[in-house]
Amino acid sequence: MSSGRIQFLLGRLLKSILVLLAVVVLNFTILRLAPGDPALILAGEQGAADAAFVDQIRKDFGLDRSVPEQLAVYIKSLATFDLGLSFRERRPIATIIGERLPATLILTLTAFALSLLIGIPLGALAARRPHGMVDVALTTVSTAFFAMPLFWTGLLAIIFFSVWLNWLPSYGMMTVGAPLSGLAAFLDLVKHLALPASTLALFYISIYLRITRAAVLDVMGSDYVRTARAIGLPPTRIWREHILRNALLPVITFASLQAGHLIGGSIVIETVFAWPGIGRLAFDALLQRDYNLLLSVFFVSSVVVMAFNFLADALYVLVDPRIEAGASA
Amino acid sequence: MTPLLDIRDLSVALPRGSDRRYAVENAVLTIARGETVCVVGESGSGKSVLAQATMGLLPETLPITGGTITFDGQRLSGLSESRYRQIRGPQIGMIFQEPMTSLNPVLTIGAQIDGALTAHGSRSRAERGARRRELLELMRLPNPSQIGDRYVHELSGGQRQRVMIAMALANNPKLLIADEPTTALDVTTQKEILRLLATLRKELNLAVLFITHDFGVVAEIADRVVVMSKGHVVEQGDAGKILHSPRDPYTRRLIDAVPRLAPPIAAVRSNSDTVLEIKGLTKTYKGRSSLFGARRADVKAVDDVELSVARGEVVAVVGESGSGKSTLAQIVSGLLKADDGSVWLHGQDLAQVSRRQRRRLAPHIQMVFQDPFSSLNPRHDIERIITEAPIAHGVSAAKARSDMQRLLKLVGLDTNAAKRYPHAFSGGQRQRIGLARALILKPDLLIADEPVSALDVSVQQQVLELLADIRRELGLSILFITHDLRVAATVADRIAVMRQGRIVEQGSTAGLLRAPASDYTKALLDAVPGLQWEQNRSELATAERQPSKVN
Repeated sequence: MSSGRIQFLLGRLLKSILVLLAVVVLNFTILRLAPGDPALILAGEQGAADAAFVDQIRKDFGLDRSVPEQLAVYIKSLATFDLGLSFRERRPIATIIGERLPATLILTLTAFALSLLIGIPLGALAARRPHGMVDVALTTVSTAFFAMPLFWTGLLAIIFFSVWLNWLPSYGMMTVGAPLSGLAAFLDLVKHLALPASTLALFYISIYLRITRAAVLDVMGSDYVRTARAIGLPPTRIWREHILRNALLPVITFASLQAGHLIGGSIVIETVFAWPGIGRLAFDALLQRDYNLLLSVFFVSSVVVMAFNFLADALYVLVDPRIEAGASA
Repeated sequence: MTPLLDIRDLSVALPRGSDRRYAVENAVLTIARGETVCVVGESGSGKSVLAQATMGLLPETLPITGGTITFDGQRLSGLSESRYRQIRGPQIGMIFQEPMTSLNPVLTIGAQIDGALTAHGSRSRAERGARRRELLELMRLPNPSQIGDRYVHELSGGQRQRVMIAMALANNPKLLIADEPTTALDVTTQKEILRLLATLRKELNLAVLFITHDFGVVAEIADRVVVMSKGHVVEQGDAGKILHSPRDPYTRRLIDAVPRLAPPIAAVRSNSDTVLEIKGLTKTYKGRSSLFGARRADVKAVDDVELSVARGEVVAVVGESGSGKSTLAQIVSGLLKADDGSVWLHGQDLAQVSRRQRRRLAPHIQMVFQDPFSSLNPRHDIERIITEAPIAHGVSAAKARSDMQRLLKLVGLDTNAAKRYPHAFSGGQRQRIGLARALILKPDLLIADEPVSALDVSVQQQVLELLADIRRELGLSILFITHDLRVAATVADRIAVMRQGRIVEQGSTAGLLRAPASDYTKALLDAVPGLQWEQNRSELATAERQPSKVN
């Protein structure tokens, strides 16, 4: 890799960190601007609303200090990877998120992998004969899945596969109370995962299919593909060496956007399938004014977004030699 | 001897609903071994379709409906795709107009030449490496041992075209089809590529089918010429014959439309009244610095330029790509801000006025742009396009409409054009609309940025004549930006030659053409294709006018 490209990546990394800092500050201030006092809610839930108790709660969580001071404390603790305590559950937030994160990641990463592995080849297939039978069938079906709201697709899947056919469980992540271990536990997880993951994947498959199809068609019409034909390259090599690699560039862009949604993008699915993930956690924290928890969920998902954007930049650098320091993709 | 390529009565159908039934109709063409045949025609003549048909690269929407193509005794028309692949490369090579987009941006050029080599027969790695170096040397590319590791965006336009030629010739074809290979290149680069093709042709005994719209280029390289119009071959024969005494009226019109490199009439500059005065104008594009590492060098796009335009005068700014001529035009028109220097219009320095004042001065300077297709809003009708500006500057709608009627007539369009949309007009008509749009504001200065570069030569001639008429009629001052010295010579009273942001030379058109002072101007003039042909033509014309002297 040339030094120009390494410089480009270092620059992007630094920018990511700056953006992350800005996101943290913004999240923090916006949340404080929203109405609702966490101390009052906490005190109310514990049945004691006298002023002294509320003040004590404020003091315990540092809510008695000015907003800028609170922000400074917050950033300082973030810098030492300390996410703090949940107002409500009085447990370390890292632990709470740690409990929920795997469930969400299992769900979203499976959907992510499925959508890439199925969507891209189908898109390329559709582009081979534009407006042919295969293309029309694929684009019609994908439009349907793209247009259907996720919760609706999910409900249909439950009715069909769980209620009518009784093939797959419709909720949860594992069979409650079943003493399973090893392979059996894994299969149990796969069974529970099947419906939510494929519902989520169907949506993204439609998008990848269309992006890939459009990109492939675009590249197929390009001058350098004409050149490749003019030097007598066989079709398989034209596909491999000229079409696919160039057509993947817009797909990478979208994949990095989707990857950013790995944490926050599955709230609906988690709700429909009662999946014990982080999306539900954020929703509950919001209702309960659990600022620290909510901020931390935001923070973790921002980190994931940044990480995947950076990963996409790195991939671009590998795939597209035109990227150098100072140049943009 | 049987010809290498023999095209007989070839017809290629157009999709239903096109303006004519055939892209190419009953075309006949032969090329002997080692011969260079130029197919000349304007856009839509079917010349590129002919080339693609020969290469078997026609899209499915353009089927061959009649006739035969025979190459070296083998019938190509109707050949299966897999058999055709054995022809492309080892038998016929092809190069295209856009060297930038014709190469894959994500592969090194070495890998792409390698691709051409491995497409036909297996050679060892070492053999391929040797052949690649040999090809790059043959193309006179610098550093042939290292340039293979470069990517397309790291090469100049001329170098890219050399790589294209290397790929096309990698498997020793007997015929090279070149589809407008120098049209996208600067004139000095074009000259080098034409010279390279001439050398290769001799060294490799290569036959060349050269597609072009430019008779200057034809005069440089052709043994024989085939003239096409609307899908038909209207005339073919020896290059000398066709270039000097064309029989077909269409060919004659086409040749007559080629602008001469001699000024028509020496116009006298009225130095009393200066409309535009540019002094010390400078514009630097700052090199962007990345967060780490070195800053990129600054580029002086316009460097201390002094230039003036008198009332009623046409001044052409001539330069190759990257010379800064378009930046200059954009600064004068107010689309860009200069770093330093002044642009005086009517005693007011445009470089100093505020944005608001500049907007008020907008009617005094108007522009006509290069691309007639993207410079008119496709969703507005012609009336709206032309009257938008005067109405915005406070003219009543009724007055603007009557002005528009007058101007449509002036630019040679029917007044019922007003209610139609841009797509209903040809490129030349759109340039007329663009001109009417600019003139309706009664500008003191018209900036014409490559206004005829996108037009066919016969249309180009009409638009240039129109510009000359209007200028005489309205006493208009024009700053004419062009890359084409021939065009500059026909329209301009004075020419300024730009290179790397600087004006290297300026003077009266006649003087500059007769006795160029700077080496660069000499090189530019020398690179204009078809000079010898033009000289012979004008000598012939003089001889015809004065027969007694010849006798």
